[in-house]
Amino acid sequence: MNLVLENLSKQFRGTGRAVTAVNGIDLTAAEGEFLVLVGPSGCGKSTVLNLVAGLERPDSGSVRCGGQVFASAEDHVFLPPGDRNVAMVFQSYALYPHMTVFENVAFPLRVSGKKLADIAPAVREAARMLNIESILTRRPAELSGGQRQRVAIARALVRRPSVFLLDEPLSNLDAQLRTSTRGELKRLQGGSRHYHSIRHSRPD
Amino acid sequence: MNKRSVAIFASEASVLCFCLAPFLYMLATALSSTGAAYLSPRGALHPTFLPAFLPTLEHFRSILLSPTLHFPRYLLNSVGISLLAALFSVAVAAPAAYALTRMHVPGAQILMFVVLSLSMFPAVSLVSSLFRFMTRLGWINTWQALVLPYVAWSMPLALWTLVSYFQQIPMELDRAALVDGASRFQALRFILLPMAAPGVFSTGLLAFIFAFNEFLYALMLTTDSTARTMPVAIALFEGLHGEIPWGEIMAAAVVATAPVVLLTIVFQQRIVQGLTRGAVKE
Amino acid sequence: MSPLILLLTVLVLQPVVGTVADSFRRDIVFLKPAFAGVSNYTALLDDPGFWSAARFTLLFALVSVQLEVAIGLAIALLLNEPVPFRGLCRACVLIPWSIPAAVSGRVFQLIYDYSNGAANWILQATGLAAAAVNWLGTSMGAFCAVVAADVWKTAPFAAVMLLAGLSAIPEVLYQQAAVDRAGPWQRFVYITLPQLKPVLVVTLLFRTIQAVCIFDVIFVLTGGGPGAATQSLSVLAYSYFGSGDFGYGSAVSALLFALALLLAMLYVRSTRNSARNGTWRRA
Repeated sequence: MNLVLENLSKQFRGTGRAVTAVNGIDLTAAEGEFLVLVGPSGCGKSTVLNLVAGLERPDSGSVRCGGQVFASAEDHVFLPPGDRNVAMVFQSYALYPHMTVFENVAFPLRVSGKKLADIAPAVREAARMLNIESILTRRPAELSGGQRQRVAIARALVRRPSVFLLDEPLSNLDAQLRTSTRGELKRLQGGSRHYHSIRHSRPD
Repeated sequence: MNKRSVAIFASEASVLCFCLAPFLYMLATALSSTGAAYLSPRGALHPTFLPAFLPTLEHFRSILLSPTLHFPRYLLNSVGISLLAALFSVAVAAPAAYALTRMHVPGAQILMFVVLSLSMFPAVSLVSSLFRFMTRLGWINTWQALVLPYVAWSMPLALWTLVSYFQQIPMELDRAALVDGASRFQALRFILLPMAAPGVFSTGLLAFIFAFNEFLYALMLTTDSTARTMPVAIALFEGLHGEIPWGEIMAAAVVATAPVVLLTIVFQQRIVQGLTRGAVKE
Repeated sequence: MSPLILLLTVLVLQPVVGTVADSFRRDIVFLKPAFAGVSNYTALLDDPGFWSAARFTLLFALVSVQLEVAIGLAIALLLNEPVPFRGLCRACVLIPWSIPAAVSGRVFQLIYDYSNGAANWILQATGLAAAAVNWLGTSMGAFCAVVAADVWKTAPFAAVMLLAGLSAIPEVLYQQAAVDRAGPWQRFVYITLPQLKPVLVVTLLFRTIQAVCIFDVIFVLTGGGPGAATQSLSVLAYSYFGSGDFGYGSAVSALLFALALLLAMLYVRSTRNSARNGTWRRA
């Protein structure tokens, strides 16, 4: 399943002026490919991720994954984020502060209607992969930056997404954590699962 | 103990005195056996001040058990009406606040300001027409006659406060929930509401206190003595015999204020948070 | 969802809006429904009772609001410091605010009672006054009593607001001032007050609007008396309603409404300004 962005454009209407964030971009990510978008801040990287995730609607062009059309401006198709099986890790991790780590990771499964009996093993599997089994009962406020990021990744992984998006995953970490996280992401990506990840970071 | 701490203690004592003295006076009078006679200013410090003060519950008994007064009924009216008003205010304001903060509503700011200024109308300007309106509906002396105007009055403030609370919840959580596959309703139920719960509670609390203490509408929209609320009952309480029965009036006052004072003491932090939301922007 | 919510909002506001529209129409309807033009208003302008009520209302608002903000500020300044029993004080400070105005009116009625009240008792016991003062029987005394009752009830609100404003002042400003060797009075004048200005303005305006509309306390404490000495505009309007003259009373209340609206616009403008200057933004 390839991820194809075709002639994708998005404009934002601010007060008065219109800003073109993404201008007719064409992009193809093959299955299992680890794609990195690099560029200075403000060049539209987050917007591309948002378009793939379904948090924004394209003004023109289309986003396709495999045979499925996620969004197409010309054909007036728009699949909401929940139906796309796309997972995203935000720059600020966006962990739900009132839930424990376990509940955070379990949330995507819970809202898709899975039974509790099915949820627990999946959560534990994701926790094992990210090495966060020991903190499952803690709240996000009690965690360090590196731990939060791993929880966010676990939450994204637990749904077995077909597309895996990471928004500036390294910018909040210190130098040492950055190196080890890069390694971990490579390790996860090299696993048996087929998924794409678009990751972008500023040139270090 | 140096001068500074003496000054501090004295200031605190005077603040406490200022705030509590009338309230304690109310309590003391309600409990005193000789009504207010011990406080009559016959000359200098009354030598029989202390012996005359024997705490008694007779005033409370007489007002609560008297067949011609209906104090338990008034309390029920007050609590019931206030509870309903608070619930409806919040129930209407919360989804509206959600819509205003989370969705793109054109002219939201203007709407908010208009709504807020509506709540500043003097009650007396509206009450005469309200009276006519309620009479036409046959709703005088009913609970709904009071609940509706209270909701109409406190809903703008509730909206304003809730909007401020909702704005504090980062939008990114909404988006994370959407990507995680939650519908808007699920996002509201599992993410937004639990996080906003303290704010919703504070708002409801303020609405309750306001409705409970309201006077003018309650005065004008009830003509039957069994339909009164506590504040009105206290104000119109003339007593059963000739002279003004201060002991009984104060006993009634204690009964009237006990619910709100208790609520205030227990939830004072929430109340302060709710009150200052609008004024201080962080 | 959104249109539904807005619809609900409008529905709830209907009674308010309806009565507003109503009261304007009714102003020109006399006792037996009849079109009476602006005769109510012209009669009002000639009525000395109206002007004395207006004078009283404005004077009351002026004195009361200034007193309560001053006292509130003092309390807030004290409670902003880490003094012992701060929590207890804060809780107690809210109690006057939480009591129904009608009840506090009754309590102060007792306090200022000629023969039974604590005010006279204290005055005589401490030797400050030779004979009991007839508080509620003189216009001056009644004015003091009403102001006292209102200030007692509303100073806590001012204190709470100002305390929140005080705690939002960045500590670093005071540290800078200490380095610059500014004394406590200078710190107050040059840092505290200017930083507090937006909250002060909001509190002042908000309270002034409420003070102008004052009804509960006056109705219960003095009933507008003695005579008509403490009759605020609200009480005046109410007395007309009570005697059945809805037209005239509505005219009074409409004028009061106009005054409140004016003040409310000032309030809205000032919060809009502080919103622009502050860091408050929609998400």
